[in-house]
Amino acid sequence: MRRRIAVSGRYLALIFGLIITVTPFLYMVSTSFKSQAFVLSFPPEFIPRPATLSNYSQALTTQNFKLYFLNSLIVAVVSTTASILISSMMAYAFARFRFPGREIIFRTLLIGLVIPAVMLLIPQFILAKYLGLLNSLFGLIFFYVAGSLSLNTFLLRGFFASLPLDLDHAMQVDGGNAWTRYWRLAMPLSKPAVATATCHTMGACIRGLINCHSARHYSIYYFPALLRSRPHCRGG
Amino acid sequence: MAARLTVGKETVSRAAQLNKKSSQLRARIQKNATPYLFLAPGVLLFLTAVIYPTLQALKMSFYDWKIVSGAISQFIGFENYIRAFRDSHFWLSLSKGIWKGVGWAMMIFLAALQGVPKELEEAADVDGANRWQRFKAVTLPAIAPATTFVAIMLVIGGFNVFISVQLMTDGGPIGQTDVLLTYMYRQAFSFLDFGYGSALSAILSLVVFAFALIQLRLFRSRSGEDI
Amino acid sequence: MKNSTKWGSAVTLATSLALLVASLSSGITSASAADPVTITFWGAYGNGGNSTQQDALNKELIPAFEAANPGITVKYVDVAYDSLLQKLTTSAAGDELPDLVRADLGWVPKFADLGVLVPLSSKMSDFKALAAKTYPGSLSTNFYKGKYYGLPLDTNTRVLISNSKALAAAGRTTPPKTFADLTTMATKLKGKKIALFADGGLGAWNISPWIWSGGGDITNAAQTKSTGYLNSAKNVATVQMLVNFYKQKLIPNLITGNKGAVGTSDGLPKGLYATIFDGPWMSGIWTGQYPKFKPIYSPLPAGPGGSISVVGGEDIVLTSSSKNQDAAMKFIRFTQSSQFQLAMVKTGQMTVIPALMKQEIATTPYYATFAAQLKTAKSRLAIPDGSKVDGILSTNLTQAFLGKTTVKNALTVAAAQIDYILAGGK
Repeated sequence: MRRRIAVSGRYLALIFGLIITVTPFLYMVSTSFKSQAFVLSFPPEFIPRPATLSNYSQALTTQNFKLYFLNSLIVAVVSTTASILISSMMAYAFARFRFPGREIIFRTLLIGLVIPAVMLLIPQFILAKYLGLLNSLFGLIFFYVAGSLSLNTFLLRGFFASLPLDLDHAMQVDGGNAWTRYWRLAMPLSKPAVATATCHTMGACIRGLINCHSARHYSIYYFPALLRSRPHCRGG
Repeated sequence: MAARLTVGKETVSRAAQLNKKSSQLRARIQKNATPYLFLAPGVLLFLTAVIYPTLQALKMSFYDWKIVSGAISQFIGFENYIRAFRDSHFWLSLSKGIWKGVGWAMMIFLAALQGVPKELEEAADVDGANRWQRFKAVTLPAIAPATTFVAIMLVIGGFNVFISVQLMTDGGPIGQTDVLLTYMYRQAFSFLDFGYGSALSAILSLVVFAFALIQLRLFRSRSGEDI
Repeated sequence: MKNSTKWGSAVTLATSLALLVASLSSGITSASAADPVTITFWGAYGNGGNSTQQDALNKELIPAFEAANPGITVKYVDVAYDSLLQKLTTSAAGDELPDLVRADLGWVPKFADLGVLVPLSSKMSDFKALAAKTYPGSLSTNFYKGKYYGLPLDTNTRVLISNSKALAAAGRTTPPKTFADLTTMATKLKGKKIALFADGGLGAWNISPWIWSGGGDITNAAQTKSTGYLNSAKNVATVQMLVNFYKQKLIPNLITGNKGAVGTSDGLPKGLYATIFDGPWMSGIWTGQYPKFKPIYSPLPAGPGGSISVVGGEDIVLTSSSKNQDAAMKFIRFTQSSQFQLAMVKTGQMTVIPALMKQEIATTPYYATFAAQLKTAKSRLAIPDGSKVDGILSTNLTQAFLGKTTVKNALTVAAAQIDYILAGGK
């Protein structure tokens, strides 16, 4: 009985969470089919009346759309791949080795989680300037990867640590070195964690990119920028 | 051989290793350069792109920071921090942020507590454990994964709140919807007071860092791993 | 051997990744260096998803300027309004500002104070002539410590907008012309569930028109003192009038920050609110959403000080880090031309040059009321910390509206806080 309550409780919580998470997304999709005059209508309408494809045709015909889209895709894919690779390597070191400096390095990484990113904007911009990374896709990738390292390492380390050590021993007896054990054992066994980390990183990346370019070129991401009260209403 | 170049020590001892018991694994890798090789790319990137800017931001917090490159900023010691401790709006936003996180964290804990097997608690009961012992020995380890998760998400959650609040209200009408990060953001980017904004973020980071460390320690000591 | 292959493949992977990344970065940074002079211009013309203004600039105006000024190329970079201030601040820190910026008028004193703007009044020989052609209220937003750091680029202001049905409910056919009219209207609207007036806040943008029309001010003319000005008897009377309306529920609690209240853009066309103060952009919102609604535009109700509104809009500024200041100043002159101004009128902006009013009204008839109001409209405090003054006004006035303190007391406290800001405090 108690178990049944617990299970149904968890389902309820999950469904509740799902509704909260998915509703804004559905609303965004619905908004992308509305003409601008109806975007802010109150009460909000989920089924656009009248529906229009003009936002999409406008996005696709905008001069630089293809370039922006391609750039975003490249940055998101490269950053995510690099971040997962680099952070899973770090996570593996933390989960499977003991070495001098392990604690201090791990705690330093934790700083990446607690420092508000907005305060790093200016120092990072100046750094990017001196490294010659302004206005380059590599610059974006550089900072996205760095910004996602802490969380990914943290997530993956926990997962790697929970894998049975016996498997490592067995593989080592078969002549597997550390890289093999990481790449052929830990990584394949951690697919769920790697998938989670990948989604997180990709999501963070895309959100960041929307801030980078101007949001209006992506009809589908149009919504958040409009949610903010019209700036001119405050006197421009 | 490529292997010799990258993991010298390991290759040299490989032949001998094959015949040895796996219990020697730890002893061997302790002396090894391998973990450092695994860490090197990430740590280098992290030090350059995150830690160095963090130190710069920390430096700003001790100055009446003039944004423009070349302008001379005045060193004012702990003045920004003193101002922060007297800033009632800051403490209000801080408590609000924590409060928001608490509600959320309670939900996770509640869900986790429901997942603690009844049998274990009963077994502990039979063994004569009192409530506190039972909590320490059974409940806490069972909800430990949730604890770490909450520790991380409290932090990340705080950042996400910033974005929606910033977009929807800009902290307005009179700062009622300010969470700490919007308040910080306004100090820095609306009022161009980066010294103060940095001091606020340093305090926030310290608070959250302490929380995270405590929670980590709690979790780790339960799972038998040492920190 | 197997292991070495693994390491080898890892190295290959890493190398190829690095190469890919390097090729990307080099591809993006290659710039065209062949042009004699290129000036960069940042703005948020595309804000709101409207591409007509950007198109007018990129396809019509910039080509016309470049044709008339061989050797100068203008590169317009559109930045989302929400991130423009952040981008400007960050760029100022990294010494990476563009040559020209279309700046929100509140940012001009802020950046002038940082020392990153060129004082146009000292650098442009024909500044006086150009400045004389613009609305005085719009021009004054560029003034900081004795110099002008920009020229008005486009402008707007708030006028009274009324709903005819709600006016009829108050027994009127015309909008209220004076404070006295408002008070009369208030008595007729009591109990009819129609608000006399609605607004979305109590910042300087909201309250200044009332204060100025009531004959008061927020500071002295030199902007050095608020005590004795903000808490003057005239201001107490004006604000008390509004607070009385609020207490009779004739001004909805939208003004004190109730996010759940119906916004002015919905409340007016629905007839819930009889009047609002707002800008020329409202028309575009209503034609889509409330096609049947016919807003009535009229001057703000006049008080003892007349009918004085508040100026909004953008200015064009030149950065001191610009290496092509002469070329940039040529473009600034071009923005003040009738060609530039009238092309922008067609895209929904108001001109900053009153002499062009006739052509402007011919294009967009309802601008007439706004243009007339702009002749006397004033700008908010042109100080770096103008946004803090907004916070002070709305916090204290909200207390008075909610009845937690008296109007006199709220204004006195606010004045003291503004004095502190004016004296350079934080």
